Amino acid sequence: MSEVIVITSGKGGVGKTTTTANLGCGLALQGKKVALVDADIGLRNLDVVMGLENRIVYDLVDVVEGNCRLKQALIKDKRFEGLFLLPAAQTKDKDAVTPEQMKKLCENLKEEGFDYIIMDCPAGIEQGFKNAIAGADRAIVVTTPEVSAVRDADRIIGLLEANGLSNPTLILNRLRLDMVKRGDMMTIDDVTEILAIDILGVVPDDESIVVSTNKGEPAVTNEESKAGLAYRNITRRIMGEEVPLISFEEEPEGFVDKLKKLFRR
Amino acid sequence: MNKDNCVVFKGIGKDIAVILSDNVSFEDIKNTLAEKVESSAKFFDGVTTSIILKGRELSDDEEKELLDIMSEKLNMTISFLKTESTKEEKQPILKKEMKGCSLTKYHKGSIRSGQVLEFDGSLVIIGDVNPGAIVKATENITILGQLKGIAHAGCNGNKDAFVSAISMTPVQLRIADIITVFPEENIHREKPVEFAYIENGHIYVKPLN
Repeated sequence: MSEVIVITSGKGGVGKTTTTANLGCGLALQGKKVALVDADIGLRNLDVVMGLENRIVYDLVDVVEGNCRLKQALIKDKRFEGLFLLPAAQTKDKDAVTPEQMKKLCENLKEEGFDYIIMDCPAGIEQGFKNAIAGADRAIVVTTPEVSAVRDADRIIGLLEANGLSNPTLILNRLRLDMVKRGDMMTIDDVTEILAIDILGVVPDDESIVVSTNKGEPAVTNEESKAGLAYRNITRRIMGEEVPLISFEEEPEGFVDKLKKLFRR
Repeated sequence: MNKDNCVVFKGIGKDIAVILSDNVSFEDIKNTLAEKVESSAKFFDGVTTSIILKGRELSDDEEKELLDIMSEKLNMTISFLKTESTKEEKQPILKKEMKGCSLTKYHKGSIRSGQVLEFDGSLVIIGDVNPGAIVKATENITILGQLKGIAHAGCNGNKDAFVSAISMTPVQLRIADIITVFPEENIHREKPVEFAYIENGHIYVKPLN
């Protein structure tokens, strides 16, 4: 029943942490018991994005080293019942834990009765990546429609498959429709053609994400945000529902809008 | 003045400010507080919050009495107490007997995210402590700069230890085995040098003047 999902990308800055936070909140919103695990030891961010930084006393490394019990290190979210965060240590580095220890940690989290355990993977393909995928049952690859990010995603998919995580799914983040229309940005089809994996969702570029990330309030709760809607849909797909991709076509202009435009000139 | 208005509860972010009138007797304040607290006991049930006492000069005993009323009648955890006086405070803050001397380490430069500065003795930091950084000392910590990360004074359990900083907006403040989250109100505001210490099992923060 319990499932460990790793969110990974290879390249940095494509939105792994934001995605982790939003999917965690989205699943908790659906009444699931969720644990978010920050595997980015030494460069932790998930706690800041979740707005839980000031509640950290123990962290992942403390749990692994046996300085505290797992329950002591899990921070309960302030908004959602059933959402917990296991923060990374900031003062150590990736070598502080081994893949075997992470595997054990995932098993222990499963025993705590979580429905989903979402692992925020660090950028890169070194120790941190190996730690993050060690206990995972399923992988989600995040990429942006940029050649460099797609290239790294391709590398990551290969490494995931080599480590027994076949069939990862893809989240295409920060898609800008206006740029795609002008032919300045890769389209969804361009990306899926290269990566050839199932697409789990497309998240449009949205300013509200920056605002919500800085405030520590994930966008998935924002009814008006397009990115929030995209994340809500992705959550439902993770839970096994069939949800069509949002159409990013601009809504057809009404008569009033046309009139307004006329006056603006 | 209407007696009911001499004690007003106000939410500031995650904190609760208790605004006390300066024009009535302390007895009145006490009685009104007890009444108000009792009538709203349900509202505060099980809450963990920071309390800020405002608007009136209080002696330490008075402060303790008010705190006792609140913690006695409510099933509420008061994680942090901050007093704000309207008048200049004459009594010295450092009234507690301080150790005549302790081994002190001076550190010049800022402590950045992920860095830990630990010392068996007191620490003086000439620079800032950024978010994500930790400074730990078995005795006192003085920061000639901004405290924005975590400071842990008396980390071996010394409850007499204090933390002082030119600008005090830590993510967390720890003295001995007490951990507090800082009230949000404190952030983004010009303030005097502040000073944090333990009294009656709570961490207090007061301006050092």
